[in-house]
Amino acid sequence: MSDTNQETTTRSDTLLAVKDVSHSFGDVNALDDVSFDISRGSVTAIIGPNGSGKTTLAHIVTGLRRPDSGEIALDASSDRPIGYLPQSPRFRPVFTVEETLQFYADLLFTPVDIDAAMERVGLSDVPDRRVDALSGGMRRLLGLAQSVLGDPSLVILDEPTSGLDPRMTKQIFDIAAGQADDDTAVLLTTHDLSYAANADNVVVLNRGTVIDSGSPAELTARTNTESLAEAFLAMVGTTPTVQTGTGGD
Amino acid sequence: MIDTDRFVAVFERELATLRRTRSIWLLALGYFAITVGIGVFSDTSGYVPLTLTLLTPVELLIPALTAAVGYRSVLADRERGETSILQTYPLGPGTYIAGVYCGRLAWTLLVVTVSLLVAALTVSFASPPADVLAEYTGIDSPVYYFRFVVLTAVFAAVILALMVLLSTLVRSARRGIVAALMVVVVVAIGIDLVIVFGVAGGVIGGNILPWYLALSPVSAYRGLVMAYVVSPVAATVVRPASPLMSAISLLLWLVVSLLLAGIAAWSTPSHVMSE
Repeated sequence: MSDTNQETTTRSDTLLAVKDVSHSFGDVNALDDVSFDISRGSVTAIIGPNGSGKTTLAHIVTGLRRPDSGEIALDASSDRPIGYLPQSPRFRPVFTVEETLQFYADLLFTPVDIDAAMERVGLSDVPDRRVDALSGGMRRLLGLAQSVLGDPSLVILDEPTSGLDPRMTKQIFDIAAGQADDDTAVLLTTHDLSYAANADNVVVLNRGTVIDSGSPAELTARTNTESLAEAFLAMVGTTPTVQTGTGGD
Repeated sequence: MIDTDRFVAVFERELATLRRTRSIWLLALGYFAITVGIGVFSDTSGYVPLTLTLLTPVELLIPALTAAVGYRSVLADRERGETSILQTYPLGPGTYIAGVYCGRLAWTLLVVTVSLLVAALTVSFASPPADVLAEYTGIDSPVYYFRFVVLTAVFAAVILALMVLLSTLVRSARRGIVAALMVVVVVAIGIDLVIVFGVAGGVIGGNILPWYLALSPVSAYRGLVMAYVVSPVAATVVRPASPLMSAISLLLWLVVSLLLAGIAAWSTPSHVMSE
């Protein structure tokens, strides 16, 4: 990774480097020598069957779980280097949308424009609505707004659209894609391959191992298929198997 | 180190959560009704007699109240996924635990002290019966009762710290309830029973009994109440736990519980190397 002192002159294009990360739960290998890089301004989708290790990898990259071996290097210097949206996030039900975001904003060192955060995800019309009165999709939008507070260099979204209708799914992917710019990269895990096909890079996990990675076009070309969904099935097979990993994917 | 701004944010969030939760108000009402009800129906004729009347119920009520207030204090954030989110902010686990604990403590102390102070209004100032006069040689005074209120507040703070620690360790609400009930039983009765059996079995000698009594939070609290509220006015000799050891014991229970909670709050310290 680039040295912070030389950042202005030699800042690397690589924001995150995951190198030889392995993790097991007892006898089960959840991740085995996983390596990949994420560039600034990019959207990277991690795809894989259930139990392939996606959530474990997201936890490790976020810093919520320590890998058994391997290194994670993040070239970021903000007071919140990583923003995170867990699967099916819930917030304190007695608070409103605005109060929830204000609480998280108060944890940051730099002031945050809460109105802009709500506007960005389409919640600006319901600032006073309590969390327990939000739909599942709106709660996910609230989580998304929270994940980008403080302008983190890397935003990690763990299955941000699971269980949502197509319209809400599109909205969330559009917001996530819009968040990626010169200083921010987005890493998301998903089963929604139609939207993963719009990512800049795709990492395919199977049984805790990266079986391929590259742009969606590269993956389809290598598997001689016409879509990312077909490429995915060509890589992991069509027969469901018992996969590794616990506590999610 | 505690970060003041982030501590205040967490503290205010806890207070607002409790203030807006209906079940918490029902709990407060129940505690208030029982405490004041005991004062009314006991018809005591002095502050020290009222202290003695309330002492045993309070020894049971405080663990129950703090269990209800504290057992989900950290667990609920973890169940919702907010603990994972909080770890991506510049918020240390110590600051988080301090904010959660102090927010819950502020509410608990409000309920406990208001209930005890209102109960004090039930003291009858009519001439006490002869047997009461025979039991107390000193001059009854609200000062002694105020000491009881302060000691009870300290006791509540200690047990709440235990409950917050418990909340950082359990992984589900069901286990949290079971664990909280076990802590209530162990703290309120269990340790005392072990000491009683120790005395009966000859393991604990009479000379060192006051030191052993100080080990249990309840016995330490009871010992301090006996030493600073009852002894000054009681005609009979009261032999409580060692006051110094009791105070040290309560302090240790408080500090160690919160330190362990701070260590356990973030299950895994971040390993991501950020330049």
